[in-house]
Amino acid sequence: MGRITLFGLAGCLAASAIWAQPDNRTIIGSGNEFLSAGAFAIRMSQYNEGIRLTQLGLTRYQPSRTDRAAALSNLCAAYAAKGDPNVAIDFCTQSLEIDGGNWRAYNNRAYAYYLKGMYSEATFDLDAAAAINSDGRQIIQLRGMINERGLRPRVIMEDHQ
Amino acid sequence: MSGTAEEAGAQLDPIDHTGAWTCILYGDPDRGDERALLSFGPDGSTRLARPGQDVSVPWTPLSRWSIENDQLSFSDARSGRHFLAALRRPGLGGEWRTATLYGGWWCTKAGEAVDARLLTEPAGIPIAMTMPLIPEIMATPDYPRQAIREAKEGRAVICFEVDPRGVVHDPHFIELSDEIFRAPSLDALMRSHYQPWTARPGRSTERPACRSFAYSLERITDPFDPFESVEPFDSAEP
Repeated sequence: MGRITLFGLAGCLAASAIWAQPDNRTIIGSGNEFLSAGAFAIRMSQYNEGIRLTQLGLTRYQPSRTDRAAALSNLCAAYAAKGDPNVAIDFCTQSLEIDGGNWRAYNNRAYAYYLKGMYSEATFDLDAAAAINSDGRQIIQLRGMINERGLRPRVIMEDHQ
Repeated sequence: MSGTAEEAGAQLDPIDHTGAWTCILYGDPDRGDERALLSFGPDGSTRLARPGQDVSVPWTPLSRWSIENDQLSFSDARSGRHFLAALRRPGLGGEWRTATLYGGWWCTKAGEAVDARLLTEPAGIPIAMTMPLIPEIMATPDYPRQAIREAKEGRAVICFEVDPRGVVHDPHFIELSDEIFRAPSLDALMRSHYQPWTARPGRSTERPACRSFAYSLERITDPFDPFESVEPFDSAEP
């Protein structure tokens, strides 16, 4: 389940972070080929390649603030997917410093916190993501994962007779 | 009360509530669970008896019973309780309310001796419901995984009958906050068992009982990592 979720988180994030347009058009290769190729690689679970391409996209081009924020969020997703939540959190935080309205960056950082067992922080970020996009499938999925780890179930039975 | 519990019995014929019933009343924090006999006369009279308490005047009159839309209602002026029961159910029971309290009740048909208003045997021994049911196996339900994922808490109350072998019969949901808790509650109940007892002639062979299940979730605090707060002194001079 972890791998599937990871793919879902990273993949969705990567795809729409680079390609999503304000009017929801999907434009492949929106000017920064490295960022697009990096996003695609991350979606395909080729995290190292995705990281390499995304970093090239950040250095070889002069991406806009929005693209830079999205690219950093993708790096966050890739590092989280690789199981390196500390690096992931740094990238997500950088992304959110540039663009505080990106729900995917909050969602990715929430996942990184989840990997570290920091469920309060994960929930806090997840709430922020949900405030921006309440219908995000990844948000619902991740909240379920956090609840499974962070909630202790109890059943109290009482007989009446 | 759950709508689903009511809907489940919507196709049943109305139960004939007249006669004597062995009942349990629960939900009053001061009185605890109460065992009582209820008698519904064909003339509209309702009477209540508490076995073993007052043998000389065993039956206390309650308000007349009435039925509206297959719902039986009557009141007990002494306790201030108003009783309701949906009659399209396999058993007789439902809820009771006062101005401040809320509880439930559940009955099984009483034996012939009770039906004849005989509450004590010749030796003066109360005839009905003096022995408590003793759980022999009390199975715990699994908290549904999907409920944990959705952070759902809830409650279920199932009323049922226990036969002299201690086997649970005819479970019926009186309360169900969410469908997700139906199957685990029912599974746990049906895996449970009571100690058998010897039924005496004239007494009802089945005993009424209810079991409530409270499903709750407790947030686990994040583990504190002491090494996170240790100053590494990387730049400290020797």
